[in-house]
Amino acid sequence: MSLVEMHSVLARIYVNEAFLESFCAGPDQALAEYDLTPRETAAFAGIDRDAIRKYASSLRMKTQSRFEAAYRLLFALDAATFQKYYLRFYELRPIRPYESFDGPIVELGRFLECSFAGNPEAPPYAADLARYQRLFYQARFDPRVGIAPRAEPAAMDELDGRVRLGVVPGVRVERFQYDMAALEEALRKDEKPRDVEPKACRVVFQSLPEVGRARKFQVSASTAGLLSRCDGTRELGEIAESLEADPGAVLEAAAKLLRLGLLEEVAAA
Amino acid sequence: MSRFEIFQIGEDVEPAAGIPEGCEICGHCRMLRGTLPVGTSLPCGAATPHGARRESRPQPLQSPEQTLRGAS
Repeated sequence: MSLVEMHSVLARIYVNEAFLESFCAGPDQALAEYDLTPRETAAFAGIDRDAIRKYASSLRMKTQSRFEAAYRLLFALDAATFQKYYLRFYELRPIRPYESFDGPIVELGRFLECSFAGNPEAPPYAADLARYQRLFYQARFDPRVGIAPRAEPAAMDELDGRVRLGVVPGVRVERFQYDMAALEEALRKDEKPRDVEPKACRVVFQSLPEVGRARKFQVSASTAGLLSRCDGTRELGEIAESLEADPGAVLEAAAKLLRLGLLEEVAAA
Repeated sequence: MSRFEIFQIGEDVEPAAGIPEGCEICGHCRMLRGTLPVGTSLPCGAATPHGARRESRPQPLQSPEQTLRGAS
């Protein structure tokens, strides 16, 4: 009895569709590379092919549900295309035991970004949408390093041009070629946006202290510029000058970013 | 309109409340239920309501007959 060999065959049948089809077409050839006894080979040949196809399919669908949840906008855009590329990904990269639950979900995002870029089968914004959802997923589940529970910022009322601010850990700003807020809103209403013109946009992803929670904001170029300049080394007044902006407007914007927990006060060195 | 525009897209994603019975957020609760101590935080943010820690170890292999019966 070669238990390990038998289980190896079954595991491959369950996760590898090409091998499953090869097995169903002719078990002898598919099983040739395995060290099985004639009795075991005969037992495999007697398996109900439809039942084993259904079982393999049910395993794929079970696994797919958590990927759908992470990329639900892409799924809403075109479920059939999502399914097609998900199955390709599953074929290349089956889920393995003892790995982190979020790693394969992030990997699928990268796979979809590459698959959709310049692909005439998908709308031109599909690659951006995959990256947008991957980054939000990462904001929700990446390890929390230095993200403290939120407290009301102490300095907000007395904010002046001499204060130094820094971006809170777990906050990142990313550029996209399309208006992601408009796309998300449309897809959540079950609309399928067509003929979408590129429109550069910036999105801030904010991890919240509780694992699984995050926020995203669409911001103007000036707000993104303000955030990028808040590195703790410059005073707000200097930043307003570098932005060629009204200092009052910069203070107001900084106060809002403090309230949202995107910026924090940095003690002077 | 202010030059320094910012608006939130969508809602905060809340941790699943209550019993982790395969929540839609991560789908792991069903798998983890009963394997972790009470109150352990799950990836979705929920906490396990019951169960005791047990070691994760490979299960003994079934006999070929059992395996084939299960598959068909």
